[in-house]
Amino acid sequence: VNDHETVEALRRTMAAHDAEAPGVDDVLAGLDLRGAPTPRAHRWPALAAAAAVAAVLAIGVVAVPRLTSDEPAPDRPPVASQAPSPSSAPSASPGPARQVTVPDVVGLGREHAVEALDKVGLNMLVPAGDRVTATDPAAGTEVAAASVVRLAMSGAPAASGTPCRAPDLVVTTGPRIEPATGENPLSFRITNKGRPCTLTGSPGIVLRAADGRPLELSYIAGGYQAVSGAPATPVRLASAGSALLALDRYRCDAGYSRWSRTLEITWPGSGTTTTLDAVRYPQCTQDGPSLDPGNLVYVSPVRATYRDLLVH
Amino acid sequence: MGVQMGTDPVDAFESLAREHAAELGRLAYQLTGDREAARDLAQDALLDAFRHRDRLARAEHPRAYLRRVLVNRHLNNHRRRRFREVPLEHEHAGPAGDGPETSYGDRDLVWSALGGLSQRQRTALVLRYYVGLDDAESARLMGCRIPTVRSLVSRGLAALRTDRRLLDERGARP
Repeated sequence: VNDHETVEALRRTMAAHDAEAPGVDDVLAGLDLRGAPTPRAHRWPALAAAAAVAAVLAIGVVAVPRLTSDEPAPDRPPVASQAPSPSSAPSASPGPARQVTVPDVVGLGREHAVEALDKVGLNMLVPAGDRVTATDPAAGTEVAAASVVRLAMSGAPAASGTPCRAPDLVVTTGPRIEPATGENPLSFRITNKGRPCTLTGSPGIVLRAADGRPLELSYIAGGYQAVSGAPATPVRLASAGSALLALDRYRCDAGYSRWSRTLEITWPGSGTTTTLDAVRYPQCTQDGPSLDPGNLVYVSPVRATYRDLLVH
Repeated sequence: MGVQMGTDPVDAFESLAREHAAELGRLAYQLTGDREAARDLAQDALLDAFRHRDRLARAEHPRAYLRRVLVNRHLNNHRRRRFREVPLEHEHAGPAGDGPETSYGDRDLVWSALGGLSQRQRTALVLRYYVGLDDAESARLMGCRIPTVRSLVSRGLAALRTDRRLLDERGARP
């Protein structure tokens, strides 16, 4: 019996039992609304899931006009206009830092490791690869919640050729990626002004607020939703040739807490860094002990073409 | 698109509740597999929604909002009391099957097997195959990650598969 058959049997079963469900009158009988308490000022985590929170990501990279993704919801002003200017953006209040213990994720696959760290409220840097070989800090260490744990992974993509270096690379806004379910994709075009060189895998990324502090985000090498997670291959950039890169993440269901001002890209192979100004990308409001899914930013490998960048 | 809260919020809510009660009842039944429990769950969800009707008033899709409240309530119920054995011998006799391949017997086996899944596995299967949500929506609704939803669905299906096989073998007497 394969999955397809099981699914078909399941669908038939569910449909067949629909008729036994309690009907309107059953459900409404005895429902005493007049005796129910009035609304409280209670925070319900991200109840507006269905009301897809609109994200207007306004970025202006190297004098490229603003790029917007996603439509504003009809009953809200576009985020770009309601968001405070970066300098007055509320920073995530440090508050009394909750201490958490770094869990042991060595040996786990990527998704499970991400989940385990996220569950206790830690941010993370996850390079490409299959399994976790080490963490920094190590398992058992007590750290403040939302601290960053760096993972080392086995099975990283093998680099080849001369790595491209920051001074030779010019980064501009890339082609628009249509979000499938309201996530926040962002793409960049990387143009090589130097001699031919190669980029292999996902770069390191840091988004910083106007005050220079990094946003509290996790960065995970790989694809997400519309962005392909296919293994990285070396991408050769000829002189004046270009390649693409994308960030993607789940939307911020519960709203935004901070916005980035700069984006640092640390290139694989050379470890050199390009800093872009005026890249506005949000940190989501947290609504519980675990981190908002929107705060996991997936960083694609450098891809040769738009087609390679996307899931088909 | 929001809910109109007129002069009497109770009347306004009642008409909304009437509009969505049947759907909530069906979803609750798929989640619990028990008529009584389903009625309680749907009622509790409506009460929760009523208590927070200011949020409901702002919700873009009241239907999706109510669904979320119900799932939330269901999973919280589970956290509070680890409850309810679902009888393997399913008592509800439905109409006869509409063909040899989709015999009622098979549906009954699957329905019983659903009762043996964990609450979260069943919820993930119901959201995917009954409501028709994608992994991201299910994850959001269940308050977990997309990989978790995928793993709940695949483990749930695997359990159903195994269960059906066992039941088939048990039923297949010479």
